[in-house]
This record gives sequence, C-alpha cells and structure tokens, in this order.
Amino acid sequence: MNRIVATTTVGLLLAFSLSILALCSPRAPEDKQKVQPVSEQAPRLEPHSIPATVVVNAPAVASQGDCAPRYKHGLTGSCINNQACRGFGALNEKGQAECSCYGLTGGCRAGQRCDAIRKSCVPEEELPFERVPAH
Amino acid sequence: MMRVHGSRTRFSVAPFGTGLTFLLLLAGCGKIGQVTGQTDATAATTQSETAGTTSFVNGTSRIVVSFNDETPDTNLIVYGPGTRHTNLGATQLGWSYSDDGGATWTYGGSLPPPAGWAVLWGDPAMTTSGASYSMVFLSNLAMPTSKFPAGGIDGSVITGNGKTSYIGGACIAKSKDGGKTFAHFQCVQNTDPVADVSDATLGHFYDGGSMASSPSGEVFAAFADIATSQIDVWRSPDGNKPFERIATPFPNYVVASHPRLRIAPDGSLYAAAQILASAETFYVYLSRFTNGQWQVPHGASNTTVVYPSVDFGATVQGSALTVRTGPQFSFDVGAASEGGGDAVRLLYTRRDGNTGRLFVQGAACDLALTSCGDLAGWRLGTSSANERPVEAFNPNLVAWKGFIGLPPTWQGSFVYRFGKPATSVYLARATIGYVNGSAFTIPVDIIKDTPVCSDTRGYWGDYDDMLLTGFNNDGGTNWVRFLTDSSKGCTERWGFTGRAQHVQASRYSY
Repeated sequence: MNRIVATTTVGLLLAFSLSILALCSPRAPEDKQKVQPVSEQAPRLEPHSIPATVVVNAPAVASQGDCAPRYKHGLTGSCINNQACRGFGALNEKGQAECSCYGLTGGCRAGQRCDAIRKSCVPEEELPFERVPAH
Repeated sequence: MMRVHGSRTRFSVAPFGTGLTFLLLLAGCGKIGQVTGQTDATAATTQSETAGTTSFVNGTSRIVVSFNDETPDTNLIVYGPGTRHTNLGATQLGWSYSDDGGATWTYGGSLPPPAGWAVLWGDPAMTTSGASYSMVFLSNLAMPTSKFPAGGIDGSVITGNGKTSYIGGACIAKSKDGGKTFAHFQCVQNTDPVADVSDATLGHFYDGGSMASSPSGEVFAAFADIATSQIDVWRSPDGNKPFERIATPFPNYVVASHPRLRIAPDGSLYAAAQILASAETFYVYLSRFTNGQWQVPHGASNTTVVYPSVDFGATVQGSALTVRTGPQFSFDVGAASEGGGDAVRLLYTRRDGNTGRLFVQGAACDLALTSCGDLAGWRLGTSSANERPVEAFNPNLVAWKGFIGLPPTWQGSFVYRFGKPATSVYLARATIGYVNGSAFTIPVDIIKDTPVCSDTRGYWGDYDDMLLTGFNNDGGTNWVRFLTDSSKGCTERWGFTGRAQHVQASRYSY
C-alpha cells in the first residue's frame, strides 16, 4: 500500500515538475498573440468632459493679524480681512483679498482645514499626508 | 464589466484555478525577486517607493532602482509607536542595482546630505542621459540646514499653514558608472518670495519628483512646488552643466499632484500633472515643451482622484489597514495607430460612481495634444456592485517605440485589492493595445497575494516604477515592475513606520 502511495506521489511530483517547465519555457505570453500595440484603423476616442474653465491659481495674500485659527496638531489657518479663515488668502477677480480653499470661496467649514497637498478641505485632525479612506 | 478572455488576474477565469496557478508561478518561474531586505545591510530597516532607470557601461546592461531608504538611519530617524524624531544628517537617498536583468540585486549604498543641507527626504526620481548611457541621475527631496530646527524634527515635516515645511528643495546626485556609485551633483531650490509662505525665501516646499533625459543629453527634473501649487522644472543642457529652472508647464493652473515627465521619440519633453478644475474636482493635464516653450496645457482625462486612500476593511497589528497612494496617473509617448491619435497614452485612476470603487482608465492623445479621449476597452480593475469588490490603483504605463527587428509595445501595470476584507494586494500587467481595431487589454497577474504592512497613516510606498530593461533574442521585451515587499511579516504598524517594508521586483518578458 505504502509503495502504491509512494509511486503515486512521485508520479504527481513529476507531473508537477513538468507542468512548471512547460509554464516557464520561453514562449510568448498569451495576450501577445491577441493584443496588438497599434491598430491599422484610427482608434475611436470618447471625448472627455473637461470644463471650459478651471480654478485660476490666484495671487496669494498674506495672513495678517492674530485671528488665524489654530488646528489640532499645530497647523494654522489664515487671518484674512480680520476674520478667521480655514483656508488661504487670495486675490479674487476684483483684486480683493478673500478667504478660499482651492476653489471653495470662504474656505472650509468648522472642523475642517484646507490641505495644501490635497488641495481640498480635510478633517481638522487629519495630519498632512495622512489620508482617510473615502469609504 | 471587464473583458477577460483567459486573463490570469484574480477577477477573471483562471485556467488552473487560482490556487494552483499561484503555486506554479511562485514555485516554478522565480520571476519575483527581492531587491532589498535580503541578508545585506537593508534587512534590518525599511525601504519603499521606487524610481528606476537602466544604463549601459563597459558592456554591462544595468538596472538601477532608488527608494526611500532608511538603511543608514537607525539612529537618525527614531520611531516610537506614535512618534518620529528626525535628526540632522538623516538620509533616505539609497539605491540598488542589478547586472543580470533583475535576477539578483546589490545594495549600492546611500548618500549623506551635502554641505548646507540637513536631511535628504526621499521621493526618488531617476533618469539616464539620453546621450551617455553611463551617466545616471537620482533626485531626492531635501531639507536645507537653514530651515532645520535645532534638536531635530518631531513628527510631521510640514509646518505652519501647510504650505511651509522643513523641506526646501531637492538634491540631484549623479553617477558616471551607470548607477553603481553616486556623488552629489547639485541641489536646487526655488527661493522666490510668496505672500502667504513665511519660509519661501529659504526654499519652497517641494514634493514628488520626476526626471527625464532627451536623446541629445538634456536632463530635466521636475517637482511639485507646494508653496505655489505649480510644477518647477529644472534643466541641465548636457548633464554636466548645472540645472537651471525653466518656465512652469501649467502657469495659472492649480497643480494638485506630483509631476511626471516623459521624452517623446522626437526628443520633445512632455509634462503631466493632476489639475484642480473646481472644488475637489481634478483632471490630468498634459503640456509639451518644444522650441524652448511650453504649449497651452490640454486636458487628457475625465475626473480623477488625487492621492486616494484604499481601505482594506481589515485590522492588522491592532489598526485598520489602509494604503495611501501617490499620483494616480501615468503616461508615455510611443508608437501610434493609424492617424496618430494615440501616440500619447495614459492610465489614470477614477472612482466608479455606482460602487465607489477605484479603477484604472486608459486614454490617448495625439502628439500635438490637440485631441484626447478615453478608450472604452482600456478599463482595468472594475467590478460590479454584486461582484467581489476590486479596487485598482497606482497605474504605470511605459512605451517601447520600436526599432528594426524590435516591434513596439505598450505595457501598463496596476495594483489591485481583491475582495474586502483583505490584507494583501495583487500586481497586474497589461498590454494597452487593440484587437481587430478595438481597444483591448488582458491583465495578467505578475505578483499575487503579497501582504501589505502600511504604517497607520497608510504609508506603504506611495509610488513604484516600471522599466523596460532589455530585449530577447526573438525581439521580445523584458520588463521590471517594483512593489513594496512585506512578505517577511508585519511586526509593527506604528504612526510613522510599518515593518517589514522592503522592495521586490517582478520580471517578465513580453
């Protein structure tokens, strides 16, 4: 009985080894036979839905005064027009200083801060480079 | 729904069943190798986040890869469960190289900060001179001594309003022997005043990095300038003369990501970045540098995600397992189909509106960037609401333009999480091409079920590189794709470090 088991095991190992050799032998990947890098016909592109205008990188305005909010972990917001700003000061189209967070006029709401890396409002307690999963 | 047709990815029909296929590939082919973390000096510390290049010197074809390297930092970057103390002299600029096509790797070492600079802070970028294949360049973010606090840094390197940082530029090292050894070449920094950035004149806060070199030997380096929300591009005319800052590719736009640079076969430079369109809405934009000027940037994607975090729905070492990610796009310039409308191709990451899951989408533009669009058949890593939840991210795309007897190809790769909860990721490659004139791709796993051990911020290496490394006798191409390696186990998941984190590489021929 043991001999039968041993023979069967050796046979299986041999088949296994052969299958490994077959898999690793030099041959083209299966997708290379099917997928061509270029097409003889002009490819059909689906146009992107890109807005005609995008947020302008407005000139920055320095924070002035001592009304800038202080966030957890030591980061700070701005003080713009003598008002606390959870964002950054920027010149608007009329050349006036206003608080904004990368396209969000008025800056972020309470409990949030404007993140210069992510260019958006994030929870105030979130450290820079610390990204909370979206779901 | 993804079309698979015999694909070997986990979200497809595997001919042998995934378990046996996994065993056969791992046990038999030996195409996955450790770059760091073997028995050399790198084993005791962490390495992750790669940029690579290839070189040719004295008859040797060499692959060089740089990574955020903490090998020399045992006493220079000191971690506690929720703390990190960074001392003067810390460096993350390290590299390894392979002279046998990626089968084995040798740790090349690391460089300490040069005079006037306190710390080298990773985010590697690399390139090889297009005119001299033994001349290799490697950049790292850097902290100038003038910004470095007495006593070192506790915790984050970002300060004040978030546009200020101890980081104040980048340092570029150069190798004359094909990447075996490096020496400091030049540090670059933008010291223009910025109204709301108090430390701007000490050097703007740089993030990310990308390098490229033209056939004539021009060398370019680009960094995200957080102080100005722009991309700063630096150019050396020949790799010997110093880098000087040239015009920014996306003036007046708000840049929201690391840049990526590529050189077209005609030698022109392309830059890409994710751009803020409206509040919390981002697109990939491209620009082309010809005759000393950047052209008007052109949108090249639909809405995309910026630095998304991937939730694994699992707990490892007592903390929720997440992976934060780097720039969610990649592009290259190469062989085009009839009409030339796809000479520039991109892969970028989107979030599915129905399932909320990340997937990778392919797009194309003509060389002049006058027309861009998505190709429906280049959608990777999607799963419907009722299927096992797959999330695909961190795409790479590399073109081989072709030469006599060496046909062109376009190779992409991406990381995906299969199912939720999960504690591992898969890495797949795919030819970004066509079948009977229709855009089509078949993803194939090249690393399967490799464990993830991020720190509790989600850091597990923000990005990794993919390289064309050579050619077969039959005209086929050889490729390497790097990925963080936590196969030695996950013994620590602290606030600023996860261990083990090393670098692995998957090699394949196509």
